[in-house]
Amino acid sequence: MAVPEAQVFREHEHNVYWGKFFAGAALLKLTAINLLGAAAFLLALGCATATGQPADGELVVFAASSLTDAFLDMAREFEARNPGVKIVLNFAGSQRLRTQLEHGARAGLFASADWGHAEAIAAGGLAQGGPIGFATNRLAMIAPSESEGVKTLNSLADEGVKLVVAHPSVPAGAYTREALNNLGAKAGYGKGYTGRVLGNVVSEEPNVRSVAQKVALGDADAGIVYWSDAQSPDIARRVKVTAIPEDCNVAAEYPAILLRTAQQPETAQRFLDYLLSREGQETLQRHGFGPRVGAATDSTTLPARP
Amino acid sequence: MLRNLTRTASPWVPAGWAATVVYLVFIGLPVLGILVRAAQQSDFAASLTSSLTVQALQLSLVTSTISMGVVVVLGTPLALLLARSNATGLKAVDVLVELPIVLPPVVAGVAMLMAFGRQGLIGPALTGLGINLPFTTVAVVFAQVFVAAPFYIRAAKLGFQSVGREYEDISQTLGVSPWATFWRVTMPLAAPSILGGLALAWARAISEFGATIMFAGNLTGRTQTMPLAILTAMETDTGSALAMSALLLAGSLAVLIALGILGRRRWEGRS
Repeated sequence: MAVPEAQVFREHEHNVYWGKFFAGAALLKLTAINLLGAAAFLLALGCATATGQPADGELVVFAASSLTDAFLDMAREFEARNPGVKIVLNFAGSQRLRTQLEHGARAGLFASADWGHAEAIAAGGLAQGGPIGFATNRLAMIAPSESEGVKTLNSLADEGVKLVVAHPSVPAGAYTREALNNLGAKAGYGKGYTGRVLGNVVSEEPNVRSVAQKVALGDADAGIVYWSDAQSPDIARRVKVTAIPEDCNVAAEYPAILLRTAQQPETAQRFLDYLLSREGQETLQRHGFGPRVGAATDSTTLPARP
Repeated sequence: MLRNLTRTASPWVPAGWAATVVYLVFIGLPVLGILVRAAQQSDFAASLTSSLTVQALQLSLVTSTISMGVVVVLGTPLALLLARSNATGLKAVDVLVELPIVLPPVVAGVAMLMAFGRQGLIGPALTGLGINLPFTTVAVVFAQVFVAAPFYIRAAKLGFQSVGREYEDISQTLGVSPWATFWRVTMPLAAPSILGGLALAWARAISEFGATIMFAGNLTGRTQTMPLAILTAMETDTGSALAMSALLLAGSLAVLIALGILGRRRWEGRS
């Protein structure tokens, strides 16, 4: 019986194909790889149900990136006082943290840099109770310490200045535009100040710490960040800070909100209590934040100006 | 001997099919997710024509086109040299050329800042010349060329290597100049490889994200390419993010199909 030529060819090709792959050592290697792959896959399947669920005693805290230094400090203090508790921190722009939570990220506490994103989480039914203000902040202008370019808020409007700010969806970005509008409405900043400054913006960053980094690296001539960001050691030594006048500045209020996905609701509550406690407030203020609104101290106090 | 091995290998075929199904679901579901969710958007068309989308698309098309121009002009002679010369040192060049393929893009961004940023190695010299790269559209092109060029150079090198020297020799013994031989013999034979490499490089340039946000920043219309716009929109206007994602997905599929057609033509050309 004659076999059609095409079929012979195909079978030959087939043999060569498998022969190449399974000959000798290659067979052993491939088997091992396949077994490893299968094991990894089963492991992944097994873990899938547990993903996002923190281990026992672990509290996941989502915090605005401006809180980086302060919360790292406070997590250390809190862990020292509560043996067996581990704080896992996730820092990003508040708008990104909110997006992550809305898409199913699990955490015990959300510390936002503005009221809006925290309230959106509450409105979405993800929160346990309402937001509670725990700190305040204000804005400042920073410029690379060795540059001669931008020395005053007035010179932010000069032609060719490379200004970096946060994106309007980032709390710091919204506050920045608010403060620039306030400055523009004030005598002494010239006509069209706000428009000219915004025209100098070369990048809208996804979080305020990226703004600070780009100025600290010297690639931008100036940036608008929080007063507290300018105190962060790594940034402070590379930038000079210019205060924004009190009457044009913003009073950024940081709320924290307990989340329904908390695995350790009691630990989350205890961390929130700690944020509001005298020790917590002192740590925040050491990092350049102002006291929370309604604190026993004089409510007009913001961190002292140089 | 071969026959024997084939028989022992046969249990792997069902395993192969099982793995294929798992893999297809794993890759297919997210693709489907974008398409279904994008289609469910009531204002899909509006999202596609929103100013954010249009500006990002324009910027991505313009910058990636310029990047590909740079990549072809620089990469083609380089690939030819790598394919044809045994000069000492070229082995090292060969390795260096492929470095950006394995380098994390965000490291590429840091590297670009450390080289071309104001405090970079040649930053002060550039500033002296009045050139300021960070936060400009040129910086976007720099980032794209950095990450995409290796894909083109590698494919072009392999393409040139596959062209038999004897064809070029014959052409020249027939009195055709080396330059004309290159254009009329070498290039047409290497063309499928080169075009395939160009398509891959272009896809990589369009998708560039890490180096761009580090080195070029994020400003609508100037440095905010499609991937950066998607990230920004994901936190403000999910509809636009989905529309842009669907657009890039369609573009990626088009590149793959084009590559498939090219591959088949090359195969037929050989047999």
